Amino acid sequence: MVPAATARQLWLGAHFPRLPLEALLPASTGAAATGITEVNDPRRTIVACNDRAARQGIIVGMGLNAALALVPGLALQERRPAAEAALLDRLARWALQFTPVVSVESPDALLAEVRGSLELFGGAIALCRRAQAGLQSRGLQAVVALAPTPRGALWLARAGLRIAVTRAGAMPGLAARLPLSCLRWPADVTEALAGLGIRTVAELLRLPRDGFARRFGAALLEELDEGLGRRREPRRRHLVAERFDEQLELPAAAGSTAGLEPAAAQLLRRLGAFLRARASGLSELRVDLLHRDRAPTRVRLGLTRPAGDETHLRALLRERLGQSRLPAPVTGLRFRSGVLLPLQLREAGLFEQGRAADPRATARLLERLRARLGPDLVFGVCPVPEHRPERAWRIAEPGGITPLPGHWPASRPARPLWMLVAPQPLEGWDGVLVTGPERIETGWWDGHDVRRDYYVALTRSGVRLWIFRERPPGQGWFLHGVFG
Amino acid sequence: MSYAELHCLSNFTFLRGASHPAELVGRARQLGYAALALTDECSLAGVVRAHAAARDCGLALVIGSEFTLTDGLRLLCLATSRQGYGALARLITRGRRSALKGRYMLGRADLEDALEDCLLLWLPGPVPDAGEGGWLRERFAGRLWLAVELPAAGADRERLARLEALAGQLGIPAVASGDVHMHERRRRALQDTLTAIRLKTTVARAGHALYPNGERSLRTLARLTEIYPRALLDETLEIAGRCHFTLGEIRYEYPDEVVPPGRTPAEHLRRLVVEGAARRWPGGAPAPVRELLERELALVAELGYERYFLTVHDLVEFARSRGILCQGRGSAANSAVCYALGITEVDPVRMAMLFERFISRERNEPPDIDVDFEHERREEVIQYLYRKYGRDRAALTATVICYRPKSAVRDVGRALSLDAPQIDRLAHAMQWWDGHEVAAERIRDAGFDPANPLLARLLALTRELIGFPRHLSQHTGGFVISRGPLEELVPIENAAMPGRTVIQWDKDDLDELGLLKVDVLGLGMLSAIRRALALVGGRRGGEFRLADIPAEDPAVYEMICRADTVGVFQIESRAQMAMLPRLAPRCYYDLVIEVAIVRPGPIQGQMVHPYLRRRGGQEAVDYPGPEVREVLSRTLGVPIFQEQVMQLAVVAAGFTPGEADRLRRAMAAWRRKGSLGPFEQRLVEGMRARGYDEGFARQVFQQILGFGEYGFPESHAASFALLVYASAWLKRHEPAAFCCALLNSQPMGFYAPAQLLRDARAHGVPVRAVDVNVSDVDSTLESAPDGTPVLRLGLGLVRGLSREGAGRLRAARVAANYRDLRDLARRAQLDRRDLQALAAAGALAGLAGHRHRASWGVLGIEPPLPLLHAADGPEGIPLLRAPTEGEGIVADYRSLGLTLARHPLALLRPQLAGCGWQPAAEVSRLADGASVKTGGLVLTRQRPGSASGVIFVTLEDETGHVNLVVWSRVADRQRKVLLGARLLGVSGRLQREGEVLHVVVERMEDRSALLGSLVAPARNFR
Repeated sequence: MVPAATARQLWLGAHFPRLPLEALLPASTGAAATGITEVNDPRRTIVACNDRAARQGIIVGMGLNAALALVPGLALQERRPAAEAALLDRLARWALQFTPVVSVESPDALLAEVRGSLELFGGAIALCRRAQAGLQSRGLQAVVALAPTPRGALWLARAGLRIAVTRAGAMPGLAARLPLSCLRWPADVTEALAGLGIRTVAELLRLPRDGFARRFGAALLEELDEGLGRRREPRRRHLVAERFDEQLELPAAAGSTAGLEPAAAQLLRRLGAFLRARASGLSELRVDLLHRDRAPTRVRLGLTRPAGDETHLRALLRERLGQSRLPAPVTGLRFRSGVLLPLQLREAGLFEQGRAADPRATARLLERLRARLGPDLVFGVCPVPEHRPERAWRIAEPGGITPLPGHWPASRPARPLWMLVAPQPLEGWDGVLVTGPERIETGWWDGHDVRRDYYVALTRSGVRLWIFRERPPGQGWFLHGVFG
Repeated sequence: MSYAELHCLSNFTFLRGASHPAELVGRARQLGYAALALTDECSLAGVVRAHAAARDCGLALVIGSEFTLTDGLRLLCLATSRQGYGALARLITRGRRSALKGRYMLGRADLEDALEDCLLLWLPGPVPDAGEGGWLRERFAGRLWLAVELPAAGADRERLARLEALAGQLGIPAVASGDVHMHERRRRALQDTLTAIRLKTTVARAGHALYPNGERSLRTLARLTEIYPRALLDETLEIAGRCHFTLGEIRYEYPDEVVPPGRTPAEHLRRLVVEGAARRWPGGAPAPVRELLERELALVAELGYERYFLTVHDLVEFARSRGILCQGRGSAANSAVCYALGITEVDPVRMAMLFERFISRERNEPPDIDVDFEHERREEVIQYLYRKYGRDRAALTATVICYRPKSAVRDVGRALSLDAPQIDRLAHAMQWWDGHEVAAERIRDAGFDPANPLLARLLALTRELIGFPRHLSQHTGGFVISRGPLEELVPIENAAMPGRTVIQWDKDDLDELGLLKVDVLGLGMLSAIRRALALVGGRRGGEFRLADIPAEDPAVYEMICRADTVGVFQIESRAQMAMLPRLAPRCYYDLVIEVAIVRPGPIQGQMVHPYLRRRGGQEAVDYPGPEVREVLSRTLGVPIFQEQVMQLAVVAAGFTPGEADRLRRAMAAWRRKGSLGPFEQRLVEGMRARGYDEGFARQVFQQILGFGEYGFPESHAASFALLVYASAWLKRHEPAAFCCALLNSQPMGFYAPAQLLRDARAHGVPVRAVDVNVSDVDSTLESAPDGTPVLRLGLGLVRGLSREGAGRLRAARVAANYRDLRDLARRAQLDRRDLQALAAAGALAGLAGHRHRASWGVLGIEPPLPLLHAADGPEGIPLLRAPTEGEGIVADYRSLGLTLARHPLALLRPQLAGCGWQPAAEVSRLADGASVKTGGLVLTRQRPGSASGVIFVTLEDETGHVNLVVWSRVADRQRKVLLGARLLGVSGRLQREGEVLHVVVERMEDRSALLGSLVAPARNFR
């Protein structure tokens, strides 16, 4: 039962004061003292720290030097806003269990409208407790509060007040417990207010409204009214980011991959419609083959470029599934998208007309080759700017072979096309040295310093070899490559 | 077979060359090279160091430079003669002046008609462009070579053949050269690291920007013979043989304009000295002075230094004509001649025994005069120099900024791909760098494994990089002035500050070559003294000059002996204050000693205690020998001044004056190089041979080491002591004027305005708050009804108030006082920021009430500012509470840095007494060894340079200061409390030595929570 005075909306606010830390590290309280520093900040301000660091005196807002003076061994990481956003996004998804209306309040809070869910969860207090406990069990430090207005819920949570306010019109009564900082107003406004001796929202409310609006602008006054429930707040945006996640039961358990096709086709159609509606493509598709009594078989389709085209995806899926042996009969399918990426509708450029290879066709060929041979056996080779011959190339993703940006000289000494994976000793060498030496002594920085004199040499049978001798000389000759 | 390396870069080609000039010279000599050319890229910054090294080891040094023109043409220029050297310096100047600091820009046109008397080596590119060679041959035929460089790149034989063919085709000779970047192959790791730093990348990513091998080092003759045909090697000798110029030929010529036409410099100097002496001694100079003057003039004439003295005199005259207070110091400054010329105020009669040495005949060293000017007006003097001599003849000396442990580890760390937080932690740990390494436990503390090979590599590279020059900066005030164009003496380049230029040599380089420089320095205390004199003059109705301060006033010395010296020049630091009661200065010369004795030199040489014991009569004054008595008698047998140590080397160890001088230079550099080399043995053995015991010899040597960086010469101390006395006299007799002048000369000195003001009030100076209707921009003196001076704080103290705003406020007030906020905003045209700053400072109290109300009022003044008395509608009047006393104090500190209200701890005293804390005043009455429990606001934390780990903390409460000594054992245990607390409670034992008190801390507690919002930030580790 909900009391009659209960507001028409109730908002649950959750604030995560340590989000920068929690987004980077699994919450292991026994770990070393750790601090997270601000990015692009010359002072390297500490924005979050773990319990151990806090116990040793680290305070959020401290400059890095001060922090290191206190705890010389402080483990440091730079904050990663992208990871914070991703974590917040996951938490928002988790909160969907309470209500469909969840919004992400960047950078460190969530809001959920839970009025309709109170009964389901046994009332306001129980719901708050459950949310609080759920977040805690995920290793997060969170403050959960309930208020009749979304802004009010955020204020309470940021002020660290774990309370549930359900009565409409109750917010002004709490104003004395709300410090100015929970408003997150611009620094110059907060400072100006401090200059007036104002420390709490209650003191703020004592100012004459006209005078306040004149000095600080009507927008802030409106914000105050919204938070206190004197004014209706416009609808919130930033609803939870979408992903495709759908599941389909098979009419009858399928024993072979062929039996999966109709269901897969249906899911792919839905996926296609979903993507088209959002003008987005996929970078990865995760397919779970569900079994009755065992964990699902997971299949992952990686795509070389964002795709949304059903036919292509279907062909790809067929190649991939054609190889899988089903460990048990399949009772259902679940398709999940990875992050959605904006799809470039027209990819062809100026020079791709006529007979030039269609990059999409190449990409498809590669994807099918990899699907058939296995992803490890199809790869590209990419030159690396490096003097040591064995490190002057690397395995690269096929399709995206572009030399690394780096310093490429205008002219380079000759290199054979066929290189040995590892140099091999040359027994009883008696050929002729043609050019050289090319002295290569470098690589000290990774512990694989080489010191060699390379020569182009001719064998008696007229084969041109690339051979070297270690410096200082003495250990004989090594073969490193053959010129074609 | 022999060889001359003609293409060699030192680390003065910043971030390319990986060896010091001296290392290159030494290695070339060791390998048996016939000569070495130093050819830094468009720079001669390293040549003096190379010259000194080459002279010492007897290697022929060629001076040259490498250039890459804007179209890619690369070449070397080598100077054959003084003219060629001048032409080279001129070309470098042209290239450097037409580009931003640190870069240069030269095109082919710049080479036309330049470079007479220079030899050129063309450096062809990977694909040689015969056009380049042809262009050069047309202009430089007969002195042009094609340089063949073979760094084992794989096709060297083909390259050699190709270049020889090209040379034949062009009809110019080919010559071998090495493109040397390092003295030994072992430096290749550092060279790679420098490349990565230069390209702002990591070594692993630098790829082909790195050299593939270490061939760009000085190679053995045997190896060179394998690589090059004999003819190409022989050609190097031919070229080196034609370059017979050495830096030793450079003769400095003093400027002419200081001598009026028709007079010789000697005549003019004599005339000025005679006129000056008549001013100094109106009744005629006493006979010994006349004699001294004659002797000095004769010596000056003999060495030809007249124009140097005339130049400095001219500078001082200019300052005087503008009312800028100035004072000379240095060995030559304290001569009778300089006293007569008004360069210094140190009276030779008063100091008769002092200066046997002012210029030495034997040493070919220019006289040394530094002139201090008021720090805020030094720029006027500099501009005068530029105006008088022109920018082509006057320029600032460079300061070579070198890699220090922290900057080195940062750059190396980045080059080795460490991430930013790791680099930060490592840089932090570098404070424990002892000149060679960081102790393993500090590395572990910082979260690294000392055994990790990456870390070992990193520290090894850091060790090599420390001391490498990074860039040239401008010296604080060292000016070089020449007769002819300076750019033919040394290249001139742009400094970072617009309109400033610097030469490519630093002051050691100038010293080495015996070039004249005048140090035009800024001294905050001179500004403060000039202001105080003006205030005193204003009150006394008439001019009051430095010379009007009565000499040797006993009341002043009494104050000094009590260590009541906050604000006094030089003797206000905690270490100086601790010394004052023990040394108990009673006369001017005692102050000279006081200034010099609290320095690492005498302290490290363990001279302080013996001197104090002898002074106190607890120890007999004796001398290890009669020659030593001569040198040390004025300091009771204990060497205290730098000059005495030099003289000891002469009289006790048998050094020639020239050797003693080289010793002094070696001292200045010993920390960089880590040793005094042969001097240590030479000194100790010399003294032993003359019958001094080894202990004494070692002691003198220790002193020399200490003096290296921080040694203080008597000739400087003598001038400083005058300012010590003058400022002490002002503090003793005119405390209001003195405090006011110090406040107006900030930032300077050891203490913040809050402490200066607290001290003045403790001495009975009444102080009034900042008020928009009364205050000037500067702090001023007002008169109480009884005539006592009252200090009125100035608008300039208000943080956030713009200088212009304060000026307009002052100017518009002349018409009438401000009636209200609106009137103030309108007439003074103040923007909201300025008004808010005034409100926060409480300066609007008279117009708008307490801070909170004033702020509300200010926020209500809307931009654009009302031009007329625009009638705004009536406004609701807010109920704003008045700030509490605590809030007022906090606001005072935040916006003024000081408060006239009670000390914050006075408010908390009841609670503090409850904790059992004794106030500072009570602590000062305790006996030696008593146990103490006290506490206060942390004013300063200091860690002295030595790594002993002790930390000094000064606490302050409403009754005074308490000085703490925290040993590392305690500091390590309670690190968090020690570094984190703003309000620190301590218990420990009192240590009393005469009037000097310390609390040796045993336990600390952080009571900052008591402060709540009462905040006063500490000055940490300044």
